[in-house]
Amino acid sequence: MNDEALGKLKQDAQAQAVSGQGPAYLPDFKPSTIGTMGIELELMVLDRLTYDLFPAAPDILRLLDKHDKPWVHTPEITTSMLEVATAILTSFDEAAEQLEHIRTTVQRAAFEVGASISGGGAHPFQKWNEQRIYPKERYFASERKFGYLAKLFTVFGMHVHIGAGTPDEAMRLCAWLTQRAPLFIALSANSPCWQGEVSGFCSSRSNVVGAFPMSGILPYEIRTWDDFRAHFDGLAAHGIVNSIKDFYWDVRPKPEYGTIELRVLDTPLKPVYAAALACYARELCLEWADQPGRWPGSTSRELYIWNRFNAARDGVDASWIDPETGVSMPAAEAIRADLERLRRRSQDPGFAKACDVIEHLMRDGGQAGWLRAHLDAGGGMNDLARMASEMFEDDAAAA
Amino acid sequence: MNDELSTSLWLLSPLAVLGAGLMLALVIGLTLQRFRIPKLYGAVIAGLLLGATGGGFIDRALLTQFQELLNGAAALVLFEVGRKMDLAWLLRSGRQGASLLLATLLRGAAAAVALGLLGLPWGAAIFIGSILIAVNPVIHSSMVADENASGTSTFATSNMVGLSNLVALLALAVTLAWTRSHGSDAGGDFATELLRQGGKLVVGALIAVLSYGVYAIATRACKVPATLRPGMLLAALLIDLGLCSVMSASALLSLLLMGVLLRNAEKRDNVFQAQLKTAQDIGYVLLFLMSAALVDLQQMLHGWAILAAVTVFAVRIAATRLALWPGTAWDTRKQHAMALSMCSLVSYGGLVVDNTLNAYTGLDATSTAVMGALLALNVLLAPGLTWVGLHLAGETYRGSTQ
Repeated sequence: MNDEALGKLKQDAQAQAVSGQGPAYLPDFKPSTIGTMGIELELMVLDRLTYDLFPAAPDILRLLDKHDKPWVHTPEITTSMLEVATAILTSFDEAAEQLEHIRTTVQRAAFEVGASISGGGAHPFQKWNEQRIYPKERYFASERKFGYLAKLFTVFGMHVHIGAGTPDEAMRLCAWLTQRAPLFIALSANSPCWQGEVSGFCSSRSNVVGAFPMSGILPYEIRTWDDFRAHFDGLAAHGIVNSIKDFYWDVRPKPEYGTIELRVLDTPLKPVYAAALACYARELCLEWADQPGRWPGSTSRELYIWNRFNAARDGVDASWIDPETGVSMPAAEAIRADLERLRRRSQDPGFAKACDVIEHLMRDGGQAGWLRAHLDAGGGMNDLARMASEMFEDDAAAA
Repeated sequence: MNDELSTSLWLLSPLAVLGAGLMLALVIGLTLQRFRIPKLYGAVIAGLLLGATGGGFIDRALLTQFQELLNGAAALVLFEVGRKMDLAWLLRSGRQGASLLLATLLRGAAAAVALGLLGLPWGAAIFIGSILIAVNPVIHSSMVADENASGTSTFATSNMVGLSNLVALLALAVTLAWTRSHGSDAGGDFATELLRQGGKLVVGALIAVLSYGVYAIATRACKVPATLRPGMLLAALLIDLGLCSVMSASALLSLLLMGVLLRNAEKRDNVFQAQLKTAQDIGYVLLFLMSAALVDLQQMLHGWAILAAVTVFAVRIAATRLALWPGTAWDTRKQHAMALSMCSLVSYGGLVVDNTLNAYTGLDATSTAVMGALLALNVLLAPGLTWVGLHLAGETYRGSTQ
């Protein structure tokens, strides 16, 4: 059997496992270049009058099929969501440019069918029970498996993939990035409302993921790819998982891409914010990659959960306990210290711009703060959704 | 109190008769809905049973007593239609907006040509063709609500309902002026009549702008979210309706434009759906009950008139489908679906709110018979075809089936 045929067989096995129609399958970790990155954004499809969610994703995806482009688009669990994913990127400027291309192309296709597009982690007033499962067997299978959680999962996240090099290095970088994940929750938090109510959280979306059985973080005892494979095999033997997609961890390995995937971010209100946040994660990974063999000192799951909770509730105004030193400090202070350090060592000529964008994201309570200010000024929920959509569709630069 | 007295008293109350009709329509409709038959057929059956075809309890004389109420209800339906018109999308979506406008014009032209070829006088054919431009907003809106339809083709057809009614109102002003100056009961010259009809529209449009201005000032004065101000909207609509009534202006155009203004000029918190939905649903049933009550099946479903009506019905659907062909936003299945779901038509009374209700008396007997057959077909067929169209588009939803 030649390599091409073998590759096809593996792809089929993976697809069968993901759809739940084949046996459990964990592909080999694909070698990659450390520090390359890819960005996935889950976007809202909105009604142009009410700014409620609008089940037009299948029509938008059909129009996007006609475009020849370097990035990809895919459906999501419900018909008011769509996902876009960049090609492999290596710098802030490249990321910002490609995300802007995605924004204009998707916006144009959405307008053609009479819809609007928006960023944001959770729609402010949609009702979960009114959402429609995307007509594809994989999603119907999810609905059968997870019941109402499938529709409740109509939340919109940004995932950052970072090339990890080798499988063992992927597990080490996963552990490090997991420690820092709450800072990304804080920076991206922009879902202060949930099901028509002010939730008291800056990122309501972050609480939804926790309902899934395999949510959480990479267990601290896993140190190598073989450890992870053994962990996977054990869970698969019980029928708990069937593929890597069954792990809803905040940071997880993605063997078929050779990356680790940071999954905690709310989809930002502007594409350029996404580019900046992805570059921050990428620079952190490059820094840890330059410290071979070093692992995080803290193995406290409770500390992580506490940091995560605070970040989701208070956004950029959250407090953060540094797991390495145990020192409590404002999350913004920890982020600024990171950026200052990373800016000095970054090889990316656009990283300074990314730092400026992130500084902008920490002003006035961040994205969640801006949305709350609009509510405080008398705006209603529909108006909040309109404002978010107009921010996303506005092509003006961020800061 | 004996039985005879109580029965006759009950029948003497138009309100009670209408209430009984509404109850019957809802009981039949909701029962039919359990068997996946459109709820609006409850109103059809109740209307046929109580109206000219059946017992004759609801007739033109009874409905005349509710003329003001019915006019108001019809105008409010047009307001809702206006609110669904997304001008920015219609103007900037290129092929989509253009194909809907083309469909609007082509269906009227095709219907007029078909009627002319079927032997109607060309003046009458064009007059009826201008009415047949419009999609029936009650049937479309009611079906969309009942079937919980939402999606790109529903969005487009909702826009076309508004567009077609707007174009039909404008076209009818011209054809009505022509018919009234050249028809069987001609009373004046064309220019004078056109000025009169056009004047109604212009004054209606001005009243819409004025009423919207009052609403805009009132809402800005108290700065409350949309959910707290439907009362202000109702007040503005009543002002609009009242002014149209005393100035003999086109209330339908005026309310439609109020809807258009609210949708397209207002940005902040532009939503009232939840508050109005229940009242709308009842209103749709009541309005359709009236239409059905005026249908006399024995009189209308005979001879070549019904054949002509079926031909025109089919030609309208085909013309609409043809015009949608350039649209890129909808796949072939959705285009078929949209042509079907826009098959309904309105009566003369549905476009010109006055005491004539469904019939215009200036047409010759043959044209009147064809128009009557078209309206009968509309009552019997259009809800079902609209229902099929919405389902064919795959945009209806009744919860998870998996």
